[in-house]
Amino acid sequence: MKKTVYYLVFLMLITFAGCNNNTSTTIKIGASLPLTGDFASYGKRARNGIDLAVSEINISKKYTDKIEIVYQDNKGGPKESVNIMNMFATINKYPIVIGGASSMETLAMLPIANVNDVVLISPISSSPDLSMNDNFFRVCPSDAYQAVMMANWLKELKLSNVALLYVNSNWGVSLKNQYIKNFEANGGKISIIESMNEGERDFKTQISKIIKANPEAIYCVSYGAEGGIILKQLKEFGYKKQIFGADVWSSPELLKSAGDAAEGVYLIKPAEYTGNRFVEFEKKYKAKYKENPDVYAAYSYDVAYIIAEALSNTDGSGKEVKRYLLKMNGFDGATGITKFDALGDCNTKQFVRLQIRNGIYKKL
Amino acid sequence: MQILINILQTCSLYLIVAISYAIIYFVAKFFHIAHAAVITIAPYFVFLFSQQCGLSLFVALPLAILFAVLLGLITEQFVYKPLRKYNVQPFTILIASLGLYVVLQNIISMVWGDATLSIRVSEVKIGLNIFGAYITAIQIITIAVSATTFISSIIFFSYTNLGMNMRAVSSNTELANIFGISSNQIIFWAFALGSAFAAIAGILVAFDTDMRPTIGFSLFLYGVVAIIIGGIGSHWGLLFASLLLATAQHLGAYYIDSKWMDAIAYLILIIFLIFKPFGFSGQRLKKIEL
Repeated sequence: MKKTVYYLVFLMLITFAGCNNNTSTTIKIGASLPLTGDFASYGKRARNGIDLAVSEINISKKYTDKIEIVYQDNKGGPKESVNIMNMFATINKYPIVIGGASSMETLAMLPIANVNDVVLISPISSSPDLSMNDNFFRVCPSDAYQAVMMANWLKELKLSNVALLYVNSNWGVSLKNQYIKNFEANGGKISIIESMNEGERDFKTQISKIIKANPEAIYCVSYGAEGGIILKQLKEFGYKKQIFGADVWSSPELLKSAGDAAEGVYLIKPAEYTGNRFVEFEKKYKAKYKENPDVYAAYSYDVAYIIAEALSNTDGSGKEVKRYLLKMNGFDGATGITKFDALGDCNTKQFVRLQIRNGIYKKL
Repeated sequence: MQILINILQTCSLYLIVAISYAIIYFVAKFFHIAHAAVITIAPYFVFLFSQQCGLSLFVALPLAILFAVLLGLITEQFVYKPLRKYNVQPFTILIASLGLYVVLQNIISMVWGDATLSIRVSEVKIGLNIFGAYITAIQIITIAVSATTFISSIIFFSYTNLGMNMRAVSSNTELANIFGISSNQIIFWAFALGSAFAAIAGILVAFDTDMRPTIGFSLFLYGVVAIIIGGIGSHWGLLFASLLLATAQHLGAYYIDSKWMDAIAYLILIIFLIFKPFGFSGQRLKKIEL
């Protein structure tokens, strides 16, 4: 008897919970981000940026629609991302999903978004494989763009015989391919191509081979943790020529590992916008989270605002939102002007050239 | 020439890890996967004492090794020994040990974070030039320590009382107990010794290529592969196995592609398992399960 009463109470609670949901008028948006695991640092800062923007949007008078973000942790893996995306698209029927930090996650989610007319917006994923005429948008520049910038820089410096060392991941391989295409189109010659695995700690064999090939410079597509050890071992092997790195070499891990071996290294990365909107964002972010925002937190902040714009200018369905985003005039946000091209890419952001001098990144 | 030095250094590292683990496996005869956590935690203790507490390296190094040994002993005393009391299968201990490793590794990343940490103190210097090849001070130290470990381990097992007791327990635990050798005490000492060598290996690696909470495991796996190829209970077998592994990996990476480094190591393992399942030395050890 007692048990039956418990069940009844439980049932009533569920029903009431359901009622509450129905009476609310806020629009729900899904967000699939890596909140634990290897990419957790990206996911958490993205969430901070989105939360900050949403709290502002929901008290502002400009946007009539209120937003609620439903976060799911995809752990940085494609399998979890697919499950989450399926739930968002077919059960929750959210018109817009924010997501994917690493390109691996986003590539896994995109086909489901396309089939269900869900708009997928990523603040971080940069793989050129995502540039297709479909439901994908991103506010960060594509790696294809970075590859063009790097190839042009090498051409300006008249370096035509350059070695390439890349990491064997989704991101590394696609950036490598784009770079080779552009660099060779510029008349450059790649003296040697060497690869490494993610998480590897010893690059002596690859470096021996590269030094033996005697290139004019080395371009290295790797993450910060591996990059630090590569720079250290290059110095130990007496290598003294120029070294170029990818955007992720702007991480503190690289400097910690490489120490003074990082001196003189060149890299390019998306420029941090320093306009009024960014200064404002930085102040609010610091006040709320007691830490400095990085560029991905700023991208995520803009993503939330762009969604709010789209929702208040359309009927809120995935198809309409897509149409709106494609013809949207430049959105002025914390990372500068965001305007999508026909492929959903954003090529209005600037890149900046850096060199490491005395342990800090100096603009060139 | 450079490739030769690379091989020598890798071989030295594998050899220390293989010896450290062989001592434990030789006596206790179960898979102690948490050994990888002992390898990992040692450099983190160095980091704690030398950089967070500000002690000099000469104090921090012995302290770190001591604490890593303590960790090894705690796992033996509070996890494996109670399990052995219930006479469980070695397989059960393997699972317990795997769980223990995951817990320890996560504790390390909780305390010190997942990012790379460095215990290096000096600036990065250009290595010593020997016949056109470069070698750094820490690599020379690694090779020297490895040679010392190898020789002292041979002497230990052939000439000291404790070493011979370990061999006795290894060949027949029950008989050794009857002769008044406490097998639990001997296993305790094996854990102490093995953990100390593991700590040394971990610290040497971290000095060369910095550390992350996962560095211990891949090193441990190569150590285990070296033990399987070399055969348990044979020092020369371990040396040859480490040398074979390091040579095959480096030459494979040099002439084929570095993507294949891991694949080559496991290919050798499979070949040995098929054609020479008891390793280089061919010694058949009695009573080994698993």
